[in-house]
Amino acid sequence: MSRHLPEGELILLYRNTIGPLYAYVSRRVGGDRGLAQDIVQDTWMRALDAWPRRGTPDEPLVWLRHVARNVLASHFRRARPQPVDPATLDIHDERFTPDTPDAAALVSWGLAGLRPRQVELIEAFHFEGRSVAEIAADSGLSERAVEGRLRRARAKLKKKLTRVIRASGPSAGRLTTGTTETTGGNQDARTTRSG
Amino acid sequence: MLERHDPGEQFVHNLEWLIGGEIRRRNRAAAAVSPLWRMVQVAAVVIVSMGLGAAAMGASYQIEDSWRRDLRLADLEVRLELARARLELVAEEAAGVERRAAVGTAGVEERGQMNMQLADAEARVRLLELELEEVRASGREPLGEVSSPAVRGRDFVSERLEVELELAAQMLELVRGEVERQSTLQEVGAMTALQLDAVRIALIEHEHRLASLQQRLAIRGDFLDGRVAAVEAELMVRIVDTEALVDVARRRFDLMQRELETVQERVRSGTERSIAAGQYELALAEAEASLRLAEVELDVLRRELRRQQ
Repeated sequence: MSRHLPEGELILLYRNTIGPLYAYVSRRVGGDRGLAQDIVQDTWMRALDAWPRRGTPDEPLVWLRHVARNVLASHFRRARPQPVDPATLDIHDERFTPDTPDAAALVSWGLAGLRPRQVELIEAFHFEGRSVAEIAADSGLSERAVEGRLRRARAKLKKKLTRVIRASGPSAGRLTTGTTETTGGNQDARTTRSG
Repeated sequence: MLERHDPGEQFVHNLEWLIGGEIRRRNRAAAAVSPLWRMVQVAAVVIVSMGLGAAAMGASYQIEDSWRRDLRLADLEVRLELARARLELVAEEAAGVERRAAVGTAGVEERGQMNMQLADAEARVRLLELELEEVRASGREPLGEVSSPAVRGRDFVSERLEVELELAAQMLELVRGEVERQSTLQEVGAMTALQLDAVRIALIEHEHRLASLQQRLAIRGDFLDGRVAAVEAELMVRIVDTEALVDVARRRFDLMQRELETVQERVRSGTERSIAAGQYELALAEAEASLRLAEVELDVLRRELRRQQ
């Protein structure tokens, strides 16, 4: 049964969550502004579909991030990765940060095949730059357990990414989705969602 | 400077506007689900179970949507024709009054009333023309809120406000002339001070109407320029209207108090029955309740606007 949506309440909620939600999505897409905006907008439209039926969640930002993660996974599952210059992303470096749209797109493509808990760990450590101690404190796990899980998640991600990372020229560094391409290192370039 | 992972003010504002519009659209759609519509949905399910297939169902919905839009357009076209016919009639009548006024057989009051009718008829035609153009351009009902979106770059809300503003300005001029005329009557003892005050309140109502439309236009401009959000814009409009309501309600209440005192004096002197004072007291209590309600509403709206800003 569809319920009346309280506009004032939802707009206030939007204002309180848009900053952190956008930052989360933006990091996941390596600062690709156009793609981040599309994903955030899509996430909010899904919220407007779901909340009248199920009610506003107790922790709206957690809900929005969760849905944004699914939207990202769905987007990157449709992407066709092409060989990427290893200079743009050293996945053998344990502290790698995917801070360009290309690198982020590649890692996000890889993450689309991982389990949600593994994705959360990679996101927290590599995209948000949080320490093992911080992640452990938030998740109620020991630091050692976090390190172990992180190592396994990274290994799975590496296995998936190794197939597309080749020692090739700089011009090879790109990831395509549908017919649109994102050129390596270009902050303004965007990866258009297909479908 | 914009940080790399900051959403940017323009995007935040645009998405807020989009979400606000989407919420209102969904709420309107939810409110429009009538028992008749539910019956139509049940009937559609029955048709499917009879084996007509999903394609037939989709086609019937499309026909129904198109039928609704065509009906709305036809309704507006008929209303526009009627409004144009009325305008022609009123214009002819007004020309007749002008001719009679020129030879001294029509008074100022008659001319004033005729001019009011003419301005009103002209505005109605223009408003209906704009509504028709908006339905044609957008394929949906015309939207009147200051936070409504422009349609293909055209701002129908402001265009309609301009028409209403012009009408309100003409009306105000006519009422102002009428108040001046009645002031003269009061000076020569043909009407009481209380009667004149009642007419002055009507003048103040027209002044508020004009000011409200001017402020609506300004708020609309601020909204379209991205200076205020949808929620703030709607709250600001409601505050302007409620401020006017409080002002008029307060003046009416004061006037009724003075009228009651006059009636009570007449009851004491035996020229009025006591029941008349009772009726006035009841009307006064109702006016006071309306005033308090408007004051509470204004207070709530102001607090909400502060919370939003």
